[in-house]
Parts: sequence; C-alpha cells; structure tokens
Amino acid sequence: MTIATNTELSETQLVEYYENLISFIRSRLNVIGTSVYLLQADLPGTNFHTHKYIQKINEEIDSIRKLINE
Amino acid sequence: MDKKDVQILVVEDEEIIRMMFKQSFENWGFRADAAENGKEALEKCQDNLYNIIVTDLNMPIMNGMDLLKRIKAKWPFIEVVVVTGFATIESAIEAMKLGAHDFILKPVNFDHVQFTINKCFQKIRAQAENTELRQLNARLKELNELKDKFIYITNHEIRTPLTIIKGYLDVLGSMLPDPDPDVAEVLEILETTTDELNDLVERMHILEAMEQVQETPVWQTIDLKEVISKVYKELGVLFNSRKLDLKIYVDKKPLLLKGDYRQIRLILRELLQNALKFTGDNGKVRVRLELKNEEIHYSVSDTGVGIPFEKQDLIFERFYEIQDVINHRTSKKEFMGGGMGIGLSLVKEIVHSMGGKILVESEPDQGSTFKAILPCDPENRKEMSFYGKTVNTKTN
Repeated sequence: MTIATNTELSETQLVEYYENLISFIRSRLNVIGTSVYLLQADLPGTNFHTHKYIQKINEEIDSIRKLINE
Repeated sequence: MDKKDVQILVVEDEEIIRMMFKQSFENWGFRADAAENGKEALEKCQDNLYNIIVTDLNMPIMNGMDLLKRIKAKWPFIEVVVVTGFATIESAIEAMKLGAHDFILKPVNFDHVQFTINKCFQKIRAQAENTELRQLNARLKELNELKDKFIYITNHEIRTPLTIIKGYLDVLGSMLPDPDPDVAEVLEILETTTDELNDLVERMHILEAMEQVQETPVWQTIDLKEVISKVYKELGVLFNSRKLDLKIYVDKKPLLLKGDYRQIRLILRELLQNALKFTGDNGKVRVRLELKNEEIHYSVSDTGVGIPFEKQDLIFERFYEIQDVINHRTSKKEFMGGGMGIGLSLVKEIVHSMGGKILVESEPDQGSTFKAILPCDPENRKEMSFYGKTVNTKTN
C-alpha cells in the first residue's frame, strides 16, 4: 500500500484512496477477528486468563469496528 | 464549456433573416435552432435547453418584449439578445432593463452580431466556471473534512485499541512457548495483521505531522514539562513493552518557550520515537530537557544502532529510508517498522523555522544523541553557539 498527499491525487482518486484505506482496515480487522476465534477453538483447555485476554482482544476489535463504521 | 455546448434560439418572423442568423451561429461554432414568433419560442423552450435567445422585438402573435418577460420569469439563466430597428431604440433600452443581455440594431451588421454573441458566450462560460468552482470548492471542503476525520480516527482513536490488542497477543504468545503448528500459524497471522494495521496508523501519524508543519503556526507560550509528560504518556507503554530503560531528566527551572504547540509536540515526540525505533530491546534511552542561556536544550540519547558518519546528514532528508540500510540486527518488526523516513526531516524544518538548530552525534553500534536547541523566544533570540555536528541548514 502506498501513501500520497492530496496534491498528488484527483478528487475521485482521493475518495477511492480513503475508501481503500477503510476497506484495508476492515479486511484486517476481519482477519484478526477470525484468527482470534480460531485461536480460541484451537487452544487446548483454555484457562481463565486466556479466556479473559481473548475477550479483551474481541472488545478492542469491536471498538475499532464501531469507529470505522461511523 | 465550448461554443458547441451553447445552443442559441433565433426568434424572427422573417424567414430569410431567421435563416441567416441560424446559419451564421452555426458557422461560428454554436448550435442553433429557430422559431418564427414568441409563442413558438416558448414552446421550444419547454423541450430544449437554450443558453441564448436572439429575438426580434416586433413579431406577430407574441412580440419579443413579452417573450423576454416570460423567459426571464421562468428561465432567468437564459441570456436574451434583442434585435430592433433604430426607430424602436427606446424599446431596446426597456428590454435591457427587463434583463436582456444586449441589443442588436437593424439593419443587422453580422460583425456586430458576432461580437455581441461572443461576449454573451464569454459571460455564460464565466458563470459556468464560477458555478463549477463553487461546487468544486464545496466538494474539496467536504473531502478535506473527510480526510481530517480519517486521519484523526486512524492516528488517535485506533492507536490505543491496537496497542492493547498487540499487548494481549504478546501475552498470549508468551503463555504458549511451544504451540502446536495450527496455533503457531494463527498467532503468526495475528502478529502480521496487527503489524500491518500499526503500520497504517503510523503512516497516518506522519501525514498529520506533515500537515501540521505546512500550516501557519499558532504562536503561544508553551510549558515543555507538560508537553514531555503527554508525549511520555503516549509512548511510555511502547518503551515498556520493548523493555527499554527510558529515563527523562527535566530541568527544575521553568521550561517555557514561544512556539506552535503541535510543532513543539512533534519535535519532542519524533526524537523520542526515533530512539524507540532504532534501539534494540533492553537498550537505554535518556532524555534531557534543560534551560541554558535562554535556550531550550532537548536531547535524546540511545544505545541503538547508531548512524555512520557519512549518513548523518541524509537522515534528515525527506523519505530517506534509513531502516533499509541500518536496521537493527535483532529483529526488524520489533522496531515499529521503519516508517517513511520523514519524521526527522519534519523536526529539522520546524527547528530551523524557529531559528534553532538540530545536532546529531552518533557511532554505529554504540548509539546516537539527537539534540534540538530552541530559542525560548524565537523573535528575540541571541546568536546561538553549538557543539557537535550541526545539520545542514538547507531546507528540502
């Protein structure tokens, strides 16, 4: 992914650029969310701490999702 | 807008003159249509978008003056040019009062007609350009707000949850020293993906920083102790996660300086972040903020990778990607990525704009010391004296 300043982009390109960035964040969040789910499923005998950490990660993922969807 | 985009309607009861007008307009590059009286012209206006109407005043069924009134009432943007005999010049003046663009006297001189129509075309084109510019400005304003919001969200709002996610993932990773292949793969994906998002946040931070430098500074008296405390709150957690020994020494004397808050914060933050990027785990970073001879001395020393002497000027050039050259041998990803090599160049620009200096002393594999010296009152600064290697003062 490359980054550019406004002066280098036309109006349409700028909108497309930010849409791509949002899409980039969304897709990475989905990857993280799915991976955390798989991790939880794969971890043998998940203990209290592991469960708590995974729950916290999910909460933070949700908070980013909310920001992006606003 | 070109002439071919402009449609002219000729309204004239005498067929020969009507055809002459129409043919002339087409020869000059416009699109043209014709009607033989005001009533027919109005009917045509219902179905077509005309830019200019050239109308005779004296016509049967509906005369030119009535047509003008109705046109201006319903389609005020259409420019109307009236054609009249000398005997009715008063009517032409009245037509102008009713909103006609101009008038053409009979007998018609086509050079004059061309001049009048071209003038009208220029007016229409200028209006179209103005409208286009206004719309473009409004759109640019919207885009700018969107961009600011996006940068703010990614740079400020996403940074904290992302740091927390990364922290918990590190803890989870440390709880599983020998994971089975499936878990190891998932952990690897999680690490790579959070690094990618962190990289994006870092890029947004740089974009915001670039804009701050380009904006007109808002000068005010700034308490540097307060600024360094805020910077520490932002970056301290990252130093801890890397087990870096960070100590900040702040002068007991008041550390007040006149400058732009965002720019000063950027100087303090970038130099500290630079040490974070290029100092290996368990390394040391020492920050000093002192008042000496009405100057603020802000120095950041690290036990990091250091910079070869011949590269010491280059690191202040924009987009110089030093991480490709001298990244730390232990682990690249633990250094927050290399960034875009722009932070130090911004620091240099700001420091110079304030009449200060930035110095660097460094030894490869030993570490670096960056020092920014800033006059407390840039408008009334004294001649400054220095030690160490001064950075080339030419701006990018």
